[in-house]
Amino acid sequence: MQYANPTKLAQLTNELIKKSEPYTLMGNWDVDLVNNTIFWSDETKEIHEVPLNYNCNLDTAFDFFKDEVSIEKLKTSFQKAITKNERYDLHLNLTTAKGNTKQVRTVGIPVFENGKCIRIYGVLEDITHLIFNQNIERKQKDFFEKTFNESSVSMGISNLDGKFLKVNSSFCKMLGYSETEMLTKTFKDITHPNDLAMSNKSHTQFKEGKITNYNIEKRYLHKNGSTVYGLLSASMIKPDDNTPAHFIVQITNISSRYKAEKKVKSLLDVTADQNRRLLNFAHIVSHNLRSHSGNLTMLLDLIKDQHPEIFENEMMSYLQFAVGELKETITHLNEVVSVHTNSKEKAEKLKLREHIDKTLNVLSATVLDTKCKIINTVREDIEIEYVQAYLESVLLNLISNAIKYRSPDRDPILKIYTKKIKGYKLLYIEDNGVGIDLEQHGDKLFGMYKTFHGNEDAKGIGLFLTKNQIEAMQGKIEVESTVNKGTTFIVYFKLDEPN
Amino acid sequence: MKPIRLSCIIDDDPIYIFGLRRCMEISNFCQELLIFNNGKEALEAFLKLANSEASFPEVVFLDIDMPIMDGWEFLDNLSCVNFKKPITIYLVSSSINPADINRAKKSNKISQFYSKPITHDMLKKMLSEHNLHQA
Repeated sequence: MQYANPTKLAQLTNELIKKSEPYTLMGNWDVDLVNNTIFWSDETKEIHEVPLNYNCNLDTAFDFFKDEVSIEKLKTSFQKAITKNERYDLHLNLTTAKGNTKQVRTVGIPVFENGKCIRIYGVLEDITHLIFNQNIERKQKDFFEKTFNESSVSMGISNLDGKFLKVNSSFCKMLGYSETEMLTKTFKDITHPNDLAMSNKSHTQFKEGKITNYNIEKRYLHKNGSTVYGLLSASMIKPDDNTPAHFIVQITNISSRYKAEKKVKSLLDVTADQNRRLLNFAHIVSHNLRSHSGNLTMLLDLIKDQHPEIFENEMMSYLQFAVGELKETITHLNEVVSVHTNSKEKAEKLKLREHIDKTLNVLSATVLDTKCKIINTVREDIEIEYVQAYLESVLLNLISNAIKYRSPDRDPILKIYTKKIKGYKLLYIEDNGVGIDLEQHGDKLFGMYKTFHGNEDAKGIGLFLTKNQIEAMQGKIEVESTVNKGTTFIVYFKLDEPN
Repeated sequence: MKPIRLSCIIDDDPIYIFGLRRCMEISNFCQELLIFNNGKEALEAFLKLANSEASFPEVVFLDIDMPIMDGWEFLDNLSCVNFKKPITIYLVSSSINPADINRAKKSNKISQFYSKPITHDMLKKMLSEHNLHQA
């Protein structure tokens, strides 16, 4: 389009620009090449951050463009405009009078008369905020792109038919395909055959808009044919018009977790099975051993009854001793077996204090005999859920041990008290006896047939049984000891209440 | 104390049988003794006895673990036998399996569970109970 009067056009343009200046951060400028004068509008002066009374001149106008690229671009374009009548529209960096850098757009329009440029005018727009916003947008886009590509979660976008349009590297890696290969596939190609029916159903529900997202555990097929266990989260993306457009899927590879779970489960099965077999075995062994030992005892009794003179032979009395020992060993074995056979259903609410008093009563002769001082501060109202026989056995073992291993150098003092921690009631049985070297014997203290003090009646079965009984009741036993100072056994009674 | 007229041992362990028999002789426990080596032998004999005029065992010492027919199976099958008089059955075993002990406690056919070996004292106690019962 060509206007008849360029000057008229220029005036119109100027007016338009001037009116729109306050709204657009846009100023105008005008260079009269005939008189070598330059005009800046107020807005243009503001962009340059110069006072409104600033005296513009053509020589200094270019000095505001300080970086090389900008000044080069501007000078070239300006030259072309005044020599070849070419308009320009440039994005440049402008350095203001106050030293601030701004992104500006400058448009130059030359005016020619008789083949000679007499004037050039244009606009200057501060686009710093626009560029800034564009940068943010680009950064956000980069960020999402990066997240998508570098996520350890497999991510993909598919069209409504389930064909992949975009997949990230985790997705490719999880299934062993290249990105190009993946983009030729639909979800059906990578789904494990056993889970295909389920996936098809979900896909149909998706397409029909019945669901918009779902989470499910499903199996995929690796390129090498192996099964990959995944936790799938799929969503339908509906743009503004609310018609389904495409799906976004995210898959967490849970194969290793799945395998670990499977392994734990199979180990548990094996353990449970072994426990059952062991218990069975223990019953059979104890039964058969008892049969034989019972027969031996019976035969010996008969011989003694009918032919007592045979026992004058030394060997017979040894035989009788051996049979007696065998019988006792089998009794111990049976006790150990029965600890783990008696189940929790036989547990009942028991008053701890009552049973401690009962045990002390049983031991009263020993207590008197040894001048043992007893400080029992266990409260009357403490109740525990326990098998009565176990509690009695545990208390008898620990309290009689405390007295048995007293120091010959001082009168025994036995302290019995309780503490409470989360989930457990703790019973302390503390003596001032000979103590035990835990560094040397600690790991064997609760072992079967372990004795440490050369005590004649020590059988090495008491603490072993005690520990087994306590553990069968979901508790535990700890020991603290200093040689020649004393020993403290701490019994953990599990409380049912969570408080 | 008056000895029992006829008692019976059902067990597959010859040493145990020998010992118990000797014990019975010494304590004058019974006049006559029947011995069977498993539940099936005993059951067949019991069925025959029930249909004849011959006397029936008053006290039975029954083992649990036996070949062919064990003690529990024997007890289950005992209902086919037509008893003329009530009999006392002692379950005698080396088992300490609580399952066995509980089962014995629950069974109304069993008078008492005894752990092997049976001693003179046990026999004496059984005999006095029997005499008390008869009186």
